[in-house]
Amino acid sequence: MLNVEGLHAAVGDRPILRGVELTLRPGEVHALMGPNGSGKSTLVHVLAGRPGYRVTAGRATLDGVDLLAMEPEQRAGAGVFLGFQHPVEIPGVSQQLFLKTALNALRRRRGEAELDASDCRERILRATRSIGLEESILSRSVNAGFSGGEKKQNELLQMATLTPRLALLDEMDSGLDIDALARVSQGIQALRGPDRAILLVTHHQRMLDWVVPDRVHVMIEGRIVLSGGSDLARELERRGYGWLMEEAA
Amino acid sequence: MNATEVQDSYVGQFQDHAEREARRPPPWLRRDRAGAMDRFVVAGFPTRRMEAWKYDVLAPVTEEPFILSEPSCIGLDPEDLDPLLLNRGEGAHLVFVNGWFAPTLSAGSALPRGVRMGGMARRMAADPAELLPAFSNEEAQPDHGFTELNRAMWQDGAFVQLGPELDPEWTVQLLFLNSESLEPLLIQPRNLLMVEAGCRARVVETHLSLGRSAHFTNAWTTLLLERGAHLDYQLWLDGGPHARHIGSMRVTQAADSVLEAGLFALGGRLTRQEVEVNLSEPGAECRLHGLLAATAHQQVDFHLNVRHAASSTTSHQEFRGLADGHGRGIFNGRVWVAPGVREIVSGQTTRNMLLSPEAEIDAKPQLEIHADDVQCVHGATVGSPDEEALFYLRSRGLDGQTALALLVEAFVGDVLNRGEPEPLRDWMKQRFNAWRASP
Ligand SMILES: Nc1ncnc2c1ncn2[C@@H]1O[C@H](COP(=O)(O)OP(=O)(O)OP(=O)(O)O)[C@@H](O)[C@H]1O
Ligand SMILES: [Mg+2]
Repeated sequence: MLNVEGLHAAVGDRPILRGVELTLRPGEVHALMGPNGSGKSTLVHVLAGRPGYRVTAGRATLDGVDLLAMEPEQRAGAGVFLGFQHPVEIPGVSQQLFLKTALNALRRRRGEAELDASDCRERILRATRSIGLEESILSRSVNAGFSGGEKKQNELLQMATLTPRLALLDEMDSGLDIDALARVSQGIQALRGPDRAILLVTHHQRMLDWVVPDRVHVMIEGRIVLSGGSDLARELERRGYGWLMEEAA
Repeated sequence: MNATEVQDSYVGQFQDHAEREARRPPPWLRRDRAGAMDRFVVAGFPTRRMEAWKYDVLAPVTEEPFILSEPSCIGLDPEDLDPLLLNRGEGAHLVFVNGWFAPTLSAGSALPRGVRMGGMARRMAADPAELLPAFSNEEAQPDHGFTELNRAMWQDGAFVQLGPELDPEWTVQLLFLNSESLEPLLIQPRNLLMVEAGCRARVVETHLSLGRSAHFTNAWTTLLLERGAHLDYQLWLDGGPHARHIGSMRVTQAADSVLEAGLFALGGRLTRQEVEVNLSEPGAECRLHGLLAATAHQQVDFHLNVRHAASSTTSHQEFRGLADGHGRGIFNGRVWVAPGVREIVSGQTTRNMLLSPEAEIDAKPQLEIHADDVQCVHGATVGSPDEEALFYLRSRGLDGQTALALLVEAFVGDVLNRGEPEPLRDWMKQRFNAWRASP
């Protein structure tokens, strides 16, 4: 499904990704770990098309289609979803309107008929309940004044509404209390599906207790230096990254 | 033509106008007009060398002559006005065509007790003595060439007097409608709005255009709020991309009166609205909000001047500026606090968004505080749309244009959504969207 080959990317003259290799198949969940500043967020941003990064070499395809040639909205249309490490507050834009506009924009891109207001509302409500959020969240402005936990849950609400094929979830577990972590993790687990691939960027084993990954990758200095099964995450929790950094150097 | 030649053309038109003035004006008015003309001849048009005019490019009104408008029949049926009218419930509308009161287009449910309104020319003919105090009010004297020009040659305008027993939902719309014509016209409304003691009232003044003519509206409005009066006033300047509009509004507020005003200007070749609010007695409060928006080569200028002349007076200003294309916005928010007054509260926020690299907005708070007991909070920002937010929206499938439209809507929503009642808000949003969509 997702194929990343030899991906290099830079910000200005500064190389950040230095040859990322990664393959996800439908139905799989992979965890991406690694020290602060190693390039995890950069990778998911580059895949989602965030402006400001320069791809200097390599490829990234979704179902064989070149992702890197597309605008961010086209990538969303192709099925990419980015769960933001820091969701953006947009005062004045209501969640309801945002979700409805996004849902119909994606349907148009996929060649499906747009939904009318009541069908939209129905879907959005269903997604809201499935994530365990109050309906009142829909009448608020996008992320504005949301608590850390609500922001992360709100990313999942968007994912549940927009039903992407590939979800890139950047630190959905950071800044959450124990209960919120459980809710968000369960939410992700519930969104697992045979046709969907999920890349979970995380620093901690905790979330992976709920969402057991098929593969775990470790990124250091812009490269994936080690991949393994779900046990690898536990080993990293025990040993840290020092031994890998020495090997990488 | 240069500014001097244009000025000369107005001197000529003034003489014609004086000779033609059908109903003989009272002597005090003739003196008033002649005095203003003399001062206009001496002062001329303002120039960019004057501090208050340094950002304005006045060429669109000073380097082309405009012909004093005549009452005209434009063959409109009252139904044609429907899309331009806000009143769906109780209320009345006065329609002015090229500045002239058009009684056949004006209508409304029966005027409530204590309400008088109509055209200024008729009122002047009927009872000039009644208008003398308002016209000779020291606080409302002109202070630059354009106001002198209006004073010398105003023709008609709105006369509105609202009495204390008015139902606050009862809305007056003043619809200034400019029509297509061969020559660019000089349209000079002189408006007087009086809200009597204890009255709660709602007035919406809209300036719209039926064609694409480049008329010049040079308006002067006096607004008097008596003790305890409460006025909700919305000014909507939307005369199309070629319109020239210079408006001066002087407000005088007596004790415990409240002015809640929305000021909106959507483009125009040159639009400048001055609002001076005199909080002249304790307990007076004004809350001003609004939007100035300019695209293409449009120029919009708001010059506000809130004067805290008495203790225990309050003012709030909340403004948004939006500029696209080569559009230019100017916001000058002056707050003046008199020496020795006490318990003053004043707040001013202006946020401005630039949508293109060529767009420009100069936003300048100007605080002149000569007293100690003053709570004053102010802030001005100018910036581009939030890139992070744009990417966030696009990552959910919205194309760049839709994403930007959502952000712009949210930005202007802060001030557009304040209007009451709801049909007014909807109407405003519709007009704003039409303006955004127009090339
Ligand atoms: N837009 C940018 N401008 C400048 N530097 C950037 C930019 N984006 C990323 N970087 C730099 O690239 C490096 C990798 O950052 P990135 O956010 O991808 O790391 P990360 O692995 O997600 O770290 P963390 O675990 O702390 O979230 C960092 O040194 C960061 O400062
Ligand atoms: Mg990160």
